[in-house]
Amino acid sequence: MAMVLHFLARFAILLMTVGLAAVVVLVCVYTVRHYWFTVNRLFASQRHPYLDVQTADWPTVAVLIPAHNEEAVIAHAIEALLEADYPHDRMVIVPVDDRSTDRTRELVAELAARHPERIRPFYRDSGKAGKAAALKDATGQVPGEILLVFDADYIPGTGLVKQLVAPFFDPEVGATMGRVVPVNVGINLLTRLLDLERAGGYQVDQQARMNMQLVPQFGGTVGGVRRRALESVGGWRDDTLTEDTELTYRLLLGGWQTVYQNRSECYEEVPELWRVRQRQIQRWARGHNGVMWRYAVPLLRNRGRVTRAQQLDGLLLLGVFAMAPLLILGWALALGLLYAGASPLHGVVAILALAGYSTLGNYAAFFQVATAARLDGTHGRIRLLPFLSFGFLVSLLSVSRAILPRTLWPFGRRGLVWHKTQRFRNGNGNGNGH
Amino acid sequence: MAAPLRVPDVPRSPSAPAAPAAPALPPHVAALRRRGAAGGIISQHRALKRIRVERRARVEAAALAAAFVLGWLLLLPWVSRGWRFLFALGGEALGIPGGVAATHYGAGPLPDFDLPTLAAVAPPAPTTMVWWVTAVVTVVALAASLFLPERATPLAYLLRASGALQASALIYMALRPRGLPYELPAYVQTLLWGGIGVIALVPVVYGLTYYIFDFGLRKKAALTAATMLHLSVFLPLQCLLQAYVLQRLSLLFLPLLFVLFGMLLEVMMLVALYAWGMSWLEVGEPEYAPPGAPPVPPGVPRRSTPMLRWVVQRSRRRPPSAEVD
Repeated sequence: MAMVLHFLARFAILLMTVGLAAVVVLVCVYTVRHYWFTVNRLFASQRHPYLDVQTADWPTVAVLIPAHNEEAVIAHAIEALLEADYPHDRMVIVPVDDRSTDRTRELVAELAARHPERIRPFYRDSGKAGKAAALKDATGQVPGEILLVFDADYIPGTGLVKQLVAPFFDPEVGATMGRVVPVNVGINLLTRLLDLERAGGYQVDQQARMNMQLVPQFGGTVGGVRRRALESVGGWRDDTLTEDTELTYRLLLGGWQTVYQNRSECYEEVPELWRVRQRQIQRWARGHNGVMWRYAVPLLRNRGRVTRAQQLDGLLLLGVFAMAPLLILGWALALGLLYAGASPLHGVVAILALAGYSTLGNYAAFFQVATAARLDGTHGRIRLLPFLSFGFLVSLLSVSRAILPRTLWPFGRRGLVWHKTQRFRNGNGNGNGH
Repeated sequence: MAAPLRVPDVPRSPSAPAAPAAPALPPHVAALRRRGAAGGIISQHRALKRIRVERRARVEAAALAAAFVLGWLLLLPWVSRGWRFLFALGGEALGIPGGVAATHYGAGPLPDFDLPTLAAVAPPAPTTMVWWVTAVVTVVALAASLFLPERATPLAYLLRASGALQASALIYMALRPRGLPYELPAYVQTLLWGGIGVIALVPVVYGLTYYIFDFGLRKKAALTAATMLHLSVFLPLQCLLQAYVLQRLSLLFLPLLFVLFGMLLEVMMLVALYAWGMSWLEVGEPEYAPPGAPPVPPGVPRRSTPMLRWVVQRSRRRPPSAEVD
């Protein structure tokens, strides 16, 4: 009996060691990825193939603005779009009011009455909740070869619509995505940290993907999609919380390219409260993981339309949120080894490895963010870098809490709950939005 | 989808004469290409920016990193002596019994050194009083994390993570009071070895993430030296403090100290110093003034702190006698 127990204990320690090693290897892969992207963004030639398109026979465009209780911001977005330098007879603005209970519909109707030729509101009073469902309903009702999608809190510049549409002259392009730049940066620590995160994500991550022809992500906040491409991959799906990531993968598998335009900047609000940020990232994590379960295997099986590099990048992109519970598992395994006094050095090596990957492993992420801030010319903000660790901790635990049950058992039939992001413009802390 | 078109390079005929190199523009004419309205400089948009590193800079970065790593390894015997001195001084001041011991290490051509440690023995298991007080404090900390204001959310999460870690140690000690197979001298040396590794990695990490920017040799060397010096002074103090806690309160606190206040803390310092260095100006980089920024007196660095500006302004103030003149 004692021998059996001894054997079982040794076997458990072996399992824990192998598990921890696997987690460390995964973190190392992401570290290399961060570093590789950053070095590419710094030194490689930058791909901006459609930036010079200024004069053209522009296609017809519908700009969709999904909105639910967006009275604080919706008018600003529409007014900014009215000033766009896109030919007026080729562009229609479509505010999609999704059962708002505040003054959103009233504001939209007022603006539409003033510009009946240019604003064609779409009012939604029933059906499934959520942005994807709203887009699905509205898309069938509006004209336009190209569909641009803006969040209601976004303020586009005058040239942005042309910049986002220009890539569609390339017949292989199915979707475009612009850069998101926070406007309410200086409010508190959270907004400053989110500004750093966004800079790293767009200025470095997305542009490096564009440079290396990997998988730039389509974002439903400041992006566009070709109607033909959208229809060819089955249209919007309303059974997901992250319809943009979901569409990115369907377009990729369908052989369409997604183009990232780093020069096409659009300005957004970032959450000013931690609880709003937590809800936002939890929604992203749930949606993103749903996409992972749905498309990881088809991506691996797809030969011909997707390159090996795109497969690898696509898989790593799908796995970013799944890393959060894996990291916690890594800590638990290392602690188990420490308490078990496992050799070598009674588990101290395990803890050293753990501390190493959790800190030096993240160093590549710090490097990425600092590089992005330097490229942006905002040097002073880089001094906040150590505080990003606190943001990472909150994100790590929030994401794990959101997705762990679903990750362990992804086949449950739970309804999708759409937690909307609170808006803060003009001191408004009560509004909600898509 | 059609495969992307590839335009083949057109080979130059061997007989074709090479195009004459265009004469370089005079500097004052070339500068006009970047001259904006009102005489300002048109800088490249941030979306398109990239940096170029010349071969010389790459060699310089590699040489600097190698020099610092080698220097650290060569200095280890002296550093170890310094740590031994600090251990003796600090151990006495904190009342840690047992004095200082050392283990001799030597490898190949590198100089041998004696790695010090504290010879004290920490009680393997906590007393009942220590266990209960720790349990109560842990529960209170976990409960307090639920009532912190929203702006302190990161602190709340840190408290919860620390509390969970300490709770695991409490449960372990309740089940196996003498189960942790660790001793204080070996633990202190493990911390020191981890620190030696981190300090040796500093030039390598900076080489990969800092030297690639054009900060100039002096700034690169200064940041690296400052970081290594800071960590090599911090490390023995960290060991002393941890040894004091463990010796007084038992190994119950070893997991928490090792995980949260061990290498993690050192790397966070490294990140903080790196962030500071990355906020400096590169060679020849113009100082950035955001729109609407208050005017800065001539000669004062725009990116200086208010305190520095005040000091510079005071130092530039002319003496009363000069004002009379």
